[in-house]
This record gives sequence, C-alpha cells and structure tokens, in this order.
Amino acid sequence: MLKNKSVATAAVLFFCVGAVFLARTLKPNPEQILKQRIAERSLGSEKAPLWVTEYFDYQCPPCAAARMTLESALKEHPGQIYLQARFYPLPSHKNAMKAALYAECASRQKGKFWKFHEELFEHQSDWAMDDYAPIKFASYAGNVGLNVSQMDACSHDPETEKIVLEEKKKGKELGVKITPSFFINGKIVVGINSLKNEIDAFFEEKKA
Amino acid sequence: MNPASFLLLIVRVALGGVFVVSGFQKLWGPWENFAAVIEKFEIIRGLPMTVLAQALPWAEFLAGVFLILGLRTLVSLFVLWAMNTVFIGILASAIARRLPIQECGCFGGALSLSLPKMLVVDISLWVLFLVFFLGSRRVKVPSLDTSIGKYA
Repeated sequence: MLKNKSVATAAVLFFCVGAVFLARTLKPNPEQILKQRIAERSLGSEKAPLWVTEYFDYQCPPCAAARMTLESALKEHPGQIYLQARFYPLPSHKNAMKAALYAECASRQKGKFWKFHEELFEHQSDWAMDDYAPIKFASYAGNVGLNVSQMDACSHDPETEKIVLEEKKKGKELGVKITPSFFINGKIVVGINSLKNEIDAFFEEKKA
Repeated sequence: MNPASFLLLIVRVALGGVFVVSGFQKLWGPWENFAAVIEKFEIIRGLPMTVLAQALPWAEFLAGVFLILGLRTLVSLFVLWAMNTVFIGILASAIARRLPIQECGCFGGALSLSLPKMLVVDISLWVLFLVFFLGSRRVKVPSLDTSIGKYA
C-alpha cells in the first residue's frame, strides 16, 4: 500500500508541476508587447541601453513617489534610459480611469503629456476622492497650455477609453497586478525599492 | 455515502480548492507580484522574502491538490492549516500596526479584499479546517488514501 501511495504522490506531483509550467508557456511573449512604441508617452532615446516601461495608476500614492526615483535615474544616467508610461487604472481607485483618459488625451497634443502627467501626480491628493475630478483635470490642462475643450471632447470619446483599457489588458497579460510595476529590459520589477535596486544593478554591471 | 461524510468531502474539496486557486494565481503570474505583497506586511525582506515569494505558492497549490484528492490527507491538511494560522497572525499584526495596506493581495489577482475582510475569511477557513479534522476522526470520508488502501 505504501508503494502505491508513493507512486500516486509522485504522479500527482509530476502532473501538477507539469500543469503549471504548461500554463506558463501559454502566456504571451512580453517582448512583443513591450516593444510597441508609445511615442508621446515616452522619454529618452529608443537606442538607450535601458528600457523602462512603467505601468501605473494616477491615484496610487506609490506611483506618485516612483516618479521621483525615475526622475533621479534619468538625471543620473542621461541618454541611458528610455522610459515609457503605460496606463493601469485600478478599479478600486474611483478617479484613476478618468485621470488616465485625460492623460491619454494630453498625449495627443504634442509635447504636453509629461507636463500634464506631472500635474496629476503633483495634485493627486486634491482630486483623488473628488466627485468632480474632471473639473480639476481641465484646470490642470489649462495650466500646462493644453486645449481644454479638445481635452474634454477627447476624454468622452469611447475610442480613448478603448485605448486605455487595451493598454491595461496587455499589462494584465504581462502579469501586472500591482501598481507601479516596471519592466526593465523586459524583466518585471514591482515597487519602488525593487525599481531602484534594479536600475542601480544595471549601471553597476555596465561599469564593471 | 452518508450525509456527514458527503458534507465533510465537500468541506475538504472546498478547503483544497481555495488554496489551489490562491497558489495557482500566484504561480501563473510573476513571483515579483507576490514578493511586493509580502513586502507590504513589513515582516521579512531580502532573500528570505524572495524565497518565500517563490516557494509559498507552490506549497499552497500542491497541498491544495493533495487535499482535494484526499491523498496524504493529514499531511496536506496540517500544512494548509498551519499556513492558514500563520496568515491569521500576519493579518492581525498588520491591522494592529495600522499598516497602510488597502487590499490584501493574498489571492493573487483572483480576489481583492481589505485586511479585515481577509481576516474574517481566514478565520472562517480555520474553523472549517477544525470541522474537517474533528469530523474525519469520526466519519470515514472518501479519499484516495482509503481507495489505495482498499485496492493495495
């Protein structure tokens, strides 16, 4: 009986481990998704050795904090980092989706995305729980010289929502669940501490 | 099969199922997600956190499958029950320390629950473990363990 039990145990273990590895192989190729270029929501040169793709939510406090880490990394390593910003609004954050819609619209008015992006994070606590957040978004848009009426129309366009949701879906396919999540040359990194460690490790290795 | 053993079978499969789903969710995604969840609880960091983030989902998944099948039932039951007890302690400690954790992240992406809600779920699971353990001492529950014994 003991022998039979051992055989059954081994068979179940083999089947379970196999099932997990098989399921993992069915996941989409991250390279294809990460290589897609988002021109208006990127910083730096595509030829840079370090590609950082950030999946973030405008209402998440660690995402606001992460931009400091990214900013200092960009300053510390000029020309070495290519940064892409991708939306991942969480359903638990009531204004995150609206903020992402406005930011997507800002990216359509050339050269204005990053300023608006900064404004949203800068004033995060002011609009996060506001029932009339879009009024504040429109005012931030005006502050950075965006065409507000175009922004309003664009944010109500179902096509804009489709783009944001599609981007989030692709993030999910890559395994993103928590914000901020980063892909550093294709490798997923979750949280600010890990981001800093990974960037530091890359440049240390490059130096050596 | 009498109603008591059928009920205990349901309890065993449900308990195993919860951990199979929880473990598989974490195994299917990158382990870094679960490492970030562990980090939020501010108990361990560094290498132990990395090891735990990769090992715990396997333990949940495998012990869950074994419990569903009723193979090595006692071992898998105690492994999961022990994990469940530790989770209760960690959740209670996080609530007591008022850590700013909005959602537990304990089920990977399958379920989004706040810490107090997750604590209630975990305590309910703990009670179910107890019910199954005590019940299975008195009533025979169909399992692979007994089938293998019968046909060996």
